[in-house]
Amino acid sequence: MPTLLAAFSDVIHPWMTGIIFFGTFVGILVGALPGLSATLGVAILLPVTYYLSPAEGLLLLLGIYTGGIYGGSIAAILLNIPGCPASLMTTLDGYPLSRRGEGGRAIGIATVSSFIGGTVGVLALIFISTLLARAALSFGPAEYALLAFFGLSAIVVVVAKSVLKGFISACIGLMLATVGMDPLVSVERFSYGNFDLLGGINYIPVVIGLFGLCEVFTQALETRQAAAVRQVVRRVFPSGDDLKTILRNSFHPCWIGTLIGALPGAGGSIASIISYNRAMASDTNPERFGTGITEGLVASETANNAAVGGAMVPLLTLGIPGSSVTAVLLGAMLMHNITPGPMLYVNNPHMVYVIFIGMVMANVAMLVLGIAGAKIFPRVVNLPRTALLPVIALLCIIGAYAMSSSYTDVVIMILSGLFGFMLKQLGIPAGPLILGLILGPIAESNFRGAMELSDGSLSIFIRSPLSCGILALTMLLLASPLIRRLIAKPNRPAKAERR
Amino acid sequence: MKLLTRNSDTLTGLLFFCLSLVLLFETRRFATAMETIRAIGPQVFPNAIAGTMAVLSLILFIRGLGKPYAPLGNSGALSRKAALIAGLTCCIASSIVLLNLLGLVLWMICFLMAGQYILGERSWRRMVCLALGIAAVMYAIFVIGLSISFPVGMLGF
Repeated sequence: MPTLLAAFSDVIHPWMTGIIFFGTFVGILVGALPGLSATLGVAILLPVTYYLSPAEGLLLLLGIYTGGIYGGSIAAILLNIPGCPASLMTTLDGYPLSRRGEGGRAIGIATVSSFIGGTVGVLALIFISTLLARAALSFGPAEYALLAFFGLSAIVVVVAKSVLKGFISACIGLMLATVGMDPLVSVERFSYGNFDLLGGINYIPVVIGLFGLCEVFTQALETRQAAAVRQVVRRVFPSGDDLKTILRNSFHPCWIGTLIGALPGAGGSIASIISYNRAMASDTNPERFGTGITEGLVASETANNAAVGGAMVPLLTLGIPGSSVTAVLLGAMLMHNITPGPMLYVNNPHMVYVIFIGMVMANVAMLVLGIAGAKIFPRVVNLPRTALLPVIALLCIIGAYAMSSSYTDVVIMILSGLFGFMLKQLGIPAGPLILGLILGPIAESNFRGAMELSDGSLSIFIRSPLSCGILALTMLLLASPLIRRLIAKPNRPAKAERR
Repeated sequence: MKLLTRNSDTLTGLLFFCLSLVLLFETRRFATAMETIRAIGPQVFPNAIAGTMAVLSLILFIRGLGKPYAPLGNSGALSRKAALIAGLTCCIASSIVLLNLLGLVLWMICFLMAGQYILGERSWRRMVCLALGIAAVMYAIFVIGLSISFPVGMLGF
C-alpha cells in the first residue's frame, strides 16, 4: 500500500502529469496523420527519454502509445483513411457519420468509447498481470528460451502476410543480436575488430531507422495526398442518448479488446475486427452497420483501446512483447535498466504501479485532449507531406545522434532505414526483425543456460509441464495458418456456388 | 507505395539464401575450442539461426519460381521514384558531415529546406518559414529543454 501511494503521488505530480499529457498529445497527432503509427511516434521519441528519469520516459512513451491508437480514429472518421491499422473498422461507421455532417459527434463518441476501453484495459492489466507474474516466477531458462521463441512465432504468424518472410525477418533480427562480444565467453562475433560493434548493435538507432526513416521513404513515394478536410467540427461532447448507447455497447468490446490485446502478436486491429463482427452478429438489424451508427463506432474504438492495456500484459509479466510498439517499449525499458518480467513485480513494484497509474492517467489525458482538441486535430490531417516528412527525417537524425552523441548511431539509423525500405519492397515485415534483435540476447542466454543445465540435452525443453505447454502453444500457433487454409478450402466451393 | 511490383519471392529467397551461406561460413571463424569449456559454444546459436534462414530462403526461392510475374510498370515513373529516394538518402546522409560543419541550427534550416524541395515544395516563403519555425522548436526542446550537446559548427552556434 505505501508503494502504491508513493507511485500515485509521483504520477499526479504536475511535471509527470504534464509529461503524460504531452506524450498523449504527440500520440494523437502522430496517430491522426494517415500512414504514421504509434510505433513511429514511440520510436522517434525513444532517444529523448534517455535524458529523462525511467518513470518520466516510460510515461511519455505510454502516453504516445495510448494517444496514437486513439488518434487513428480522427483520420478514419474525417478522411475514411485509418490513421493506424487499429482504426480500420472505425472508417465503416465513422466516415458515413462525418459525411452526414456529424464529424464532431463521431469524434466525441470515438473519444468517450476509447476512454472507456482504454481504462477497462488498464484495470484488467492490473489484475491479470499481477496473477500472471506470480505464476511466471517459477519459469526457468528453458521456459524463457521457449517464451522468446513463442513471442517471435506469434508476431510472425499474426503480423506477417507471409509466414516464411516473417521468419526470415526474425532470423535477421536474431543474427543482428549476435553481433559483438559473446554473452558467456569472450569471443568476438561479426564485429571484425570494430570497437563500436564490440558491445553489440544498439537497437535504438535500428528501431528509429526501421520505423521512422523507412516510413519517410515509403511516404515520399506516395503520390496521392489525402483529400483536405473542409468539414467544420461542431458539437463534440456526446449527447445523453449517445452516452447511453456507448455505455450499453461497451461491455463486450472491452473484454474482447483486452483478451485479444493480451495475445502476443494480436493487437488493436484484430480486436476491433472481432469486436465489430460480434456487434454486427448480435444485432437484430445488422444491415445498419456500415451506414454510420453509434454501435459500430463504439465496438471498434472501445476494443482497439482496450487492447493497449491487454498488450502490456505479456510485456510486463513475461518480458515478451507481442507487437512492434511493445517491442520498442521493451527496448525503452531495457535502456533504463528496467527488466520486465515477473521479477519486476518483486524487485521494483514502484515502477509497476507507476506504469499502471500512468496508463490510467494517459486515458484521462486522451479524453480531455480528445474533447478539447477535437476542433484542432482535424486540421493536422491536412498537413502536406512535403512539410511533414522532412520534420520526421530531422527527428530521426537528431534522435539517433542524441543517444550517445555518436555519428556511428546516425550511420546505423540511415542504413537501417534503407534496409527497412528494401525489406518493405520485398514484402518482409520489420516488426519480427526488431523483436528478434531485442529478444535475441534473452533467447540465446536462456537457451545456452538451459543446455548447460541439461549437459547439452534438448530434453530440458520438454521436461517440465510448463515448457511442454509453451511448446505446444508455439506448435499450435505455427500450424494455425495451415489449419486456417484447411478450414477455408472446403468452404470455398460453397461460397463460389452462392455467388 | 512499392517500387517492386514483380513477384519478389525468387529475388528475396535468393538474396537471403546467399546471405545465410555467408553467415554460416563466417560463424566458422568463432573459436570452437570454447566448446570444451562450455556445453554450447559461441557459434551454435548464430549457426542455428543462419541454417534456419538458409532453409526458409530456399523454400521461398523454390516457391517463387512457380509464381507468375506481374509487369514492373512504367520505367519513367520508376526512375523518378528511384531518383527521389536517392535524393532523400543523399540529403539525410549529408547530415553526417554537415551537422559537424554547420552546427545544429544552420544544419536544421538547410536540411529542412532541402528536404522540402526534394519532395516537391516550390514556395520559397513556405519553405523558409517552416524551416525557421521547426528549427526554433527543435532547438528549444533538445538544446534548452533537454540540455543535449550538439556540434556548434564553424559559426559557433
